[in-house]
Amino acid sequence: MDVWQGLIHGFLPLLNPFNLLLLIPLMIWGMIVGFVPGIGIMVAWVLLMPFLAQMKVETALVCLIGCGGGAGFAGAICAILIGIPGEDTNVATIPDGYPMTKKGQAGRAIGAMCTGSIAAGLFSTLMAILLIPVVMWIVKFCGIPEQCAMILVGVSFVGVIGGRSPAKGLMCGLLGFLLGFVGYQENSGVARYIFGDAFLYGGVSVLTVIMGLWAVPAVIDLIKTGGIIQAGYDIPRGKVLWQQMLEGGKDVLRHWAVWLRSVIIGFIIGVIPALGANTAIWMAYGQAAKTSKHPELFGTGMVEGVIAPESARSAVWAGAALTTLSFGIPGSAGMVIILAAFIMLGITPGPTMLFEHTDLCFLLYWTHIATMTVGLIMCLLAMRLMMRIVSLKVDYLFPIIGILVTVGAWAYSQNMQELVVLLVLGTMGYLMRKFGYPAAATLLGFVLCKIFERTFYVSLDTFGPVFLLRPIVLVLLALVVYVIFSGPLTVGMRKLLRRA
Amino acid sequence: MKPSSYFLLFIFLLAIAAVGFVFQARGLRPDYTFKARFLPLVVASILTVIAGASLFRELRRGKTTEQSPASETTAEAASEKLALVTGAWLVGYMVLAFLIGFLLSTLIWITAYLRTHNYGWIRSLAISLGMMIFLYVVFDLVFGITLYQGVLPIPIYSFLP
Repeated sequence: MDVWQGLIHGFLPLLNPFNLLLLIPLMIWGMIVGFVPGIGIMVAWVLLMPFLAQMKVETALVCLIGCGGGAGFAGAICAILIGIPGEDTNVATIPDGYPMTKKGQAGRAIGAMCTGSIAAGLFSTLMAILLIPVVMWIVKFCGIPEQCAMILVGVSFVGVIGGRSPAKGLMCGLLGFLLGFVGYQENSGVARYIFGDAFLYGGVSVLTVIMGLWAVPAVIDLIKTGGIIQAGYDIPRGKVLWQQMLEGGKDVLRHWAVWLRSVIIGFIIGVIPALGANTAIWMAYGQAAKTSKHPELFGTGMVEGVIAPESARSAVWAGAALTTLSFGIPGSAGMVIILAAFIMLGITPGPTMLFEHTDLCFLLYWTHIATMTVGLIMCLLAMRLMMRIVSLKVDYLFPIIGILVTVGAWAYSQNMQELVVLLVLGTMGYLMRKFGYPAAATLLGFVLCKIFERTFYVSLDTFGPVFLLRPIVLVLLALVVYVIFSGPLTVGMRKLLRRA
Repeated sequence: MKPSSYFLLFIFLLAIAAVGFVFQARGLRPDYTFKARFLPLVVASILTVIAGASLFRELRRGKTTEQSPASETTAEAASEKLALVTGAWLVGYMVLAFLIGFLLSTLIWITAYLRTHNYGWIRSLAISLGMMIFLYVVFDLVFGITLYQGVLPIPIYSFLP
């Protein structure tokens, strides 16, 4: 399928009335979960997974992206109105967004956030769509050995996901690999680590891994937080609110340079694997403060302090999706979930996906554009209702989410042994969260394990060990060595220099 | 030993177990081919080394770190107790579901949970019934997946369409 056909065919599923009917409630679901601090879009996606497994691929992708469409806005509105981020990528909005609410300018902050976000999302999505043909041309030079090396690059970046402790990230990634080795090995048919249990012959299911590593710890942390989320300052109503929001929209035009720089930062950071939106939002915030005429006022309610991080956050998605779709290397923790969803639906992301599923690649972007627009409108109309959601007691949320997690994990294989695996992984996920081990790295290792093993042995069988000496493979392996060893080497050199 | 050290020890032992298992399998199963054992051996060996080094560093660092104040330790212990209780509730649901199926266990479990947290009977039953109906509609009717009915014979399930 060529690019133009993919562009058109990718849009068609959005015209299906059934997909549109599903899209709206799922966007509401994403908004509700995105608005509740401490839960966030990751858990919204995770809880959706068991249902996605039963759907057609196009419908499942529309639902997945639709769910995320409203969540981003909802989390930002939560950060502005209450001073608590809906998820961690909304943190940089609080220093200036919440003070604006305190000053009675909540509408202006929300207007600026909405306009900046949606413009950034549209612009970056168009950039990504225009880049897809370029990436497809590059990918033609990549054979199976290059794909294998690219996966190694993706795995090596797990050390970066580990944040301050690359060792933790690497350990988690390797742990994910070990999990992925459970079950039959594709090239030899030998069953590994099944301990005589036929249930494990097919391996651990990706859904159970996601539920165990994310949903179970999130549910337990919810109870540990306890009580209800506080209500913020009163927000303006009616005409005043809309006037303020219009003013916020005009602020984006006034500060178009800040917006544009933030979009570019967000897109580039999104393309680079494992850096994620957190890096982008703070870089964007920093550049907005540095280039402002009044940098000393940042943190007191400057509208650029809202425009910059939210525009960057919105732009990250398009860049991260490009890397994930093109090379099978997730550009962020959220993309790891999307990667896992692809695999669950029987699609292997990577260079071949752009050629074999061109329409699905474009469908993702078209859906992102559609849901951002609709999600924005829904958020604005439902702001007061969302304020009520955060006053829900966790005692109601815990049983509902707990049951959805349990039944969802069972529904994938319809085998009660799945719950034993869920318990083991849930315990591991909780301990990982408690001691600061990145679950995203484990999921990344798990998801990439089988793909890596397959491409490794196919390359070995086809080319022999000489495949490691192919030019692009060599460059990628050098990148792997640099990524893994640059951190410790830099630290070691600094220590040596200090002693000298 | 610090609590995080126990987790590191767990990873370290798991990695050793992974290496050991591959070696043992090789002995027991001569047809355990190169392709089946090579990557697990490599990955588990690297993990053993990294986990071992991290554990060693953390244990050494633990000896020179000051103890947290008593109030912090008490708060942390209370928080962990709450986490354990929450985990126990989840396990309880799974065990109940294994015995009497998802639908009935949903009804009983949510009611029990909300009642133990001082909510009234009407509210507890309303939420549990609502959740039960939601599960039945979504899984049984929409997706066509008959929810697990438990190992114990429950006559009520035979009346479901």
